[in-house]
Amino acid sequence: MELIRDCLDKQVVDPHGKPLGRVDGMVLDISEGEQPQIAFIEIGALTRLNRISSRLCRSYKTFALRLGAREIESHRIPWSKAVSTSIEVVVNEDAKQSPALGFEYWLREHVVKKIPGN
Amino acid sequence: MKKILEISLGIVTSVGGFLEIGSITTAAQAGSQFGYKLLWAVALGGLCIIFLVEQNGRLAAVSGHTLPGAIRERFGYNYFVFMFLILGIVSLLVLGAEIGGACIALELATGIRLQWWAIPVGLLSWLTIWKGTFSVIEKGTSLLGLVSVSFVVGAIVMHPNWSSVLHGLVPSGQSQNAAHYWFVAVSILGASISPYLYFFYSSGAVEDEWDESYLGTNRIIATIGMSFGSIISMSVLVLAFLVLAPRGLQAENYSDLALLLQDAFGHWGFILVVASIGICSLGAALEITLELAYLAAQGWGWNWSENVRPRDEARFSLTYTIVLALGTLLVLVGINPLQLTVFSMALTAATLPVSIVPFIFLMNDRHYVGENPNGIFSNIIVLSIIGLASVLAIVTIPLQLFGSK
Repeated sequence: MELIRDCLDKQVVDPHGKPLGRVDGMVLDISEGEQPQIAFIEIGALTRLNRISSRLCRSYKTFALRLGAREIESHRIPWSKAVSTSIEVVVNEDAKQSPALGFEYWLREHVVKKIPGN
Repeated sequence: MKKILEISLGIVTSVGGFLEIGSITTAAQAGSQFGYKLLWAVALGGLCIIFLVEQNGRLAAVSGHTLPGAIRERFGYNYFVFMFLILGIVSLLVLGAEIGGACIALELATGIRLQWWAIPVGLLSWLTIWKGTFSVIEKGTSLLGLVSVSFVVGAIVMHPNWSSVLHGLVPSGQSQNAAHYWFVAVSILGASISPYLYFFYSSGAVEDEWDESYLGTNRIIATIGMSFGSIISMSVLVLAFLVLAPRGLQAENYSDLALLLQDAFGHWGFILVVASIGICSLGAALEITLELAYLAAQGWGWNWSENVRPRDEARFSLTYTIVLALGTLLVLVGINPLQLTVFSMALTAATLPVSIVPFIFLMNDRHYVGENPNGIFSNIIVLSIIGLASVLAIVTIPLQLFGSK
């Protein structure tokens, strides 16, 4: 598998096809004398920002913590949970319970559900 | 039979959804100021959009990818963010122009100043997206937009000199007021090759679950739909020459636009123009709003669909809500909608390479388009479009400074 072509930035979905996000980053397990292995895929703003600029990433982290955000670290999904990688990366993690969608659920409960006709 | 119905509906949707305040204004300015001499720009823009729409539909049908998703995968996150920022700013300006267009129609119809209509139009647009489905938004506004075919009938009724019309299809220069001539040409191309048209089309293909069996349908809809759409724009240009120029009007005021069909249909002409501007601008505003929300959702991998409840896609629905609020604000603060229209169309032309350059790579990458990559002819056309767009980008800024009156 070519990591950049076949994994990075691909859509991640749960077994029911519900989107969790995109593969924003990958954590590799590198042992001497062995092929590198993917340990985790990461989904989250910090990983994305770090790809643009590490300084931007640090500023965002400081800003978010000052605003009182509790969970700002990117969500890591063990590669062992990956079921398939074709058009999308299917992982064995239920979108309804996934921390990757924490912000989506927060917005739903605190903003969208307060707007009539939602 | 089902396929024929789908094709017919697709063509009707493309024709009815083609015209908007940008294509009306730029074509009217071209016709009233330069006669038929800029018809070639409308034709060239039409040819470009036929190819771009067909290729977007093909990419979606074969790969199941939307364009923003494919661009992020193929070119990486940083390029996607760059494209999102550029397209986001330009699309917001175009959205302001379209909301302004709908407000212009309401001012012409009621006499009440257009700024008063900004919030009602913004709210109506938001309600339509919040409560409507993709099909209602796409097909509903486009079917109503067929009223714009009245420009074609009007142009025929006015008996233009067809030989001069055909002559206008051949590109030619202009010695007097050349900077303004090329600026209007650039604006016409920007209005015709609107990224929102092919981004929206691509999202529609994925929403409607197109697969490879839709390749023929896609080709027919793109070719016939966009060709007829261009003919409507050309008709506006012809009418502007025949109706506005003799009165010494240059389509620089929206009350000029109201006269376009007056000589052909009398008072009914006024009603048809107002209905066309209002409906088509509102339809375009809805599509641009959704295009920006699709762009964000597809690029960041959120849940997105215009067919599910807003609460089930909180980030998507809040994105289009914010986008519409910003677009409405542009009209509320009193920016002249026609100046905003012409400026945003030129800016669209300047930024075309940002979304078109990735095309040539994606449409030749068998990882995405499998056994259906671009042929040599398609590649030449796409390369020409990229070349044209790049030149436009280089010339638009100085033309904007020195050419715009």
